[in-house]
Amino acid sequence: MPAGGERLALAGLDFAFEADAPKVLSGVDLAVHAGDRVLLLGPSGGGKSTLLMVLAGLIPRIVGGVLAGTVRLDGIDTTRVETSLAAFSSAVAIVMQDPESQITCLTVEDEIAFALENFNLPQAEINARTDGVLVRCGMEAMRHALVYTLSGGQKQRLAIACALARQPEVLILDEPLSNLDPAGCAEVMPLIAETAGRAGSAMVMTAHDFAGFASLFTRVVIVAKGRVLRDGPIRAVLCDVPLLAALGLEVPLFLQWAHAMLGPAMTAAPLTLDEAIEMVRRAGIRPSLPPAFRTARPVRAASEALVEVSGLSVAFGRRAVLRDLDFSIRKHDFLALVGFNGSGKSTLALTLAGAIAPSRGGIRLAGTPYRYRRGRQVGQRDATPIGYVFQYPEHQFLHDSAAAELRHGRPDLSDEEIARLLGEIGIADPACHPYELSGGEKRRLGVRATVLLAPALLILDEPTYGQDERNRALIEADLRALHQNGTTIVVITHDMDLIYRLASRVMVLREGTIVADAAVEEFFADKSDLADLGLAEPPLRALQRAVMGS
Amino acid sequence: MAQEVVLGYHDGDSVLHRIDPLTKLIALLGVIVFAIGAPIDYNGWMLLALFAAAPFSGVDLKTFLRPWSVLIPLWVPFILLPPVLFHLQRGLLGLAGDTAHLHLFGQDFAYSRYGLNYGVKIAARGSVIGIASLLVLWTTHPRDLVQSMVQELRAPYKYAWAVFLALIYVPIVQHETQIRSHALHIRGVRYRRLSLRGLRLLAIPVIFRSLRRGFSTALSMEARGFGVAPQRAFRHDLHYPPHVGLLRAAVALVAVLLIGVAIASGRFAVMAHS
Repeated sequence: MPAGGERLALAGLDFAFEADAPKVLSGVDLAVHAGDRVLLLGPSGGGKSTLLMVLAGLIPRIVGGVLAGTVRLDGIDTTRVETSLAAFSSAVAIVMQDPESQITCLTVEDEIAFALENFNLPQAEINARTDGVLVRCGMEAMRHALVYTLSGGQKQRLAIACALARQPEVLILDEPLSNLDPAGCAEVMPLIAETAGRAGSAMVMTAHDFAGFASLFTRVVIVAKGRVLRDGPIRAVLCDVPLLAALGLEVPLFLQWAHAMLGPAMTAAPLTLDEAIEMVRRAGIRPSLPPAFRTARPVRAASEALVEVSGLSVAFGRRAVLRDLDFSIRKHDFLALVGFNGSGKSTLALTLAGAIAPSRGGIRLAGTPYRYRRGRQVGQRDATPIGYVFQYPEHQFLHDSAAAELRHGRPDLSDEEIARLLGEIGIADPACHPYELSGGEKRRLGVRATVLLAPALLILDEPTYGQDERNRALIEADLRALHQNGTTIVVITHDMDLIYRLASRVMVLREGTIVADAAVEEFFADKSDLADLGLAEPPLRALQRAVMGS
Repeated sequence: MAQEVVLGYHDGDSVLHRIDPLTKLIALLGVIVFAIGAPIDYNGWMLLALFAAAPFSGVDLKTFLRPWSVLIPLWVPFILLPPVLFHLQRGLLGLAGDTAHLHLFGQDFAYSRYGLNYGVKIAARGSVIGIASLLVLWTTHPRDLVQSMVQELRAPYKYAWAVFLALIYVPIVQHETQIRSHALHIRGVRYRRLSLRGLRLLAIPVIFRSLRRGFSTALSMEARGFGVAPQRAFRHDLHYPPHVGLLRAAVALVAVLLIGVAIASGRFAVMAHS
């Protein structure tokens, strides 16, 4: 298929999950051509994931609903001609939003080979492609690993590797990078672009944070309320910064800055920080930092230790996950726990919360050592309450309504207060069951319900995962307020900007050991180690450094 | 973050790992028929034999002992209830067996000796079948089992994959249960696992997530071409131990002997007669 030839096309497409339900997609016209690398943007709940499922042929073949309009695959109208999923699945590969739920096999290499085996490819080719993608995606060392022992980020990398191994003509990715560490993103994104860049191939991808790889896309489509609002070359569409901001989308910081400096004179959006600075200079403006791009860094107040960890090791069976850790967390610290996917961050967080008993060593909370009964910490809870926000918030819900979740531990809240608190995080119906909420809403409910308890120690596992800019700002505001009120916070995150704006200290784990532990400024001062640690310089700091340097 | 699973495959290179799935299934079939048919003392010997086989599975002692925390509480009602129930019903229904008396805490307890024998037999049979199945589960890669079913037993691959999914779902559900149990602990919720409230708090979210996950997995499988081709390739050839034919013949012979012992003990005849 020559570059420019139409691969997939939707015309006048309407879709609803049920006949009497509101339309999720309405009047969508979209064509994907060979050579296209489309970035699909839009607010949460705007219909992006549904649109991707239509493009991948899953709707209406597997996911039912009422579909009107035409869907053409390589020129054939698949809504009129009986087209099996086979036709789609041989040409189109999709990576879905939740990496955990799309894993089918038991080991990493089996998972990658799964699709290739389904297409009955020769054994030699299956092995060559599997081995190749394992090496290219940096997963060679974990090829025999059992999939349920992988971290969230590793599972996401695996889902991408599976799609790449298929060498599809159209690659569709729904938030494929949201769980990856920055180094993982930097490693995987060029591979995705390379696969999509083969002759005759195309790619459609959604991403909230695309600042690090905007230049890999050729085109942007903005979808909101089920409709295509904008569709055009990336530099043209991203120029409309006020529209992006009004939709609550995450606008790359360098783009916000360029827009702040140039205003309406910005006729083509920069795609990197260097381009933004160059563009401003070329316009005859001296680069400077408007107030919105400066940071008031939290000061690390010296106070007594709240948590003291000594000689802590955790092993599951024969597998050592944490090895001989010694550190303390002071009262009012805002500690960011970072590191490669699978380095033991979630296990450490659960151990600090008392859910997992260490194999060796111990933890003291406010001076009192943890005691364990049947592998669980007992006591302590009333004296020094601990809050925890899980990576998958469904794990922590206890009640049948969003309102009851907020009331858990806060029976004093009135109905009006509950409605307001839920309304702020985009949940209109206080009676709705927490499991019926979207992924983003569940996460916001989980954070809000825990923050309301104002615990002495709050531990959060990827609190901003999959949130658009507006909702991310809400979560950050909650955390900032809580920290200012005296709560000690430990956050596991790959969001470098969140760390830079909120955290006072960074601790890096690698293969279960602490390889770095420093105040945020000091930590990011030396950029040379960041990539080795699986991290990247926070965009805000990079912007400040570049502007001040210029 | 994942803790050790009990009801799932354990990677390893032990003697049992190296035996192919079909041979192990033949042996398991023999043990199951034997356990159902053989008398109680024979099942005791079989249990000892399974304990002796445990080191050849490569599974550590802690993992091997963990299922007993479920099996032993299961024994209790099986062993305690039939003696009492049989005794109570003896007069009414004329059930076989005599009544014995146990003097405990200054009280005289009457129970059916036949009922006690019956309860112990069920517990022993359950333990033999449970432990033998776990040894196969721990040492057989589900992928190899599927491949064996498709290539050797000529089962349609879609059905063989149904077995595969059932096997890999067990550790996934166990993992989900662990995380949910962590969450309940952290949120300060006290519950008993076997109470209605405990089931609601622990099981319903796990079931919900498992069902949703089942749907997503099906979606993901179809999107990756599962069922597209009439034949499905396998990445590797099945690995067989040396002299597999001889080994299978020997295992089949032992299985037949075990079944023979069970039949000879007369239990199947009694079951057929009754």
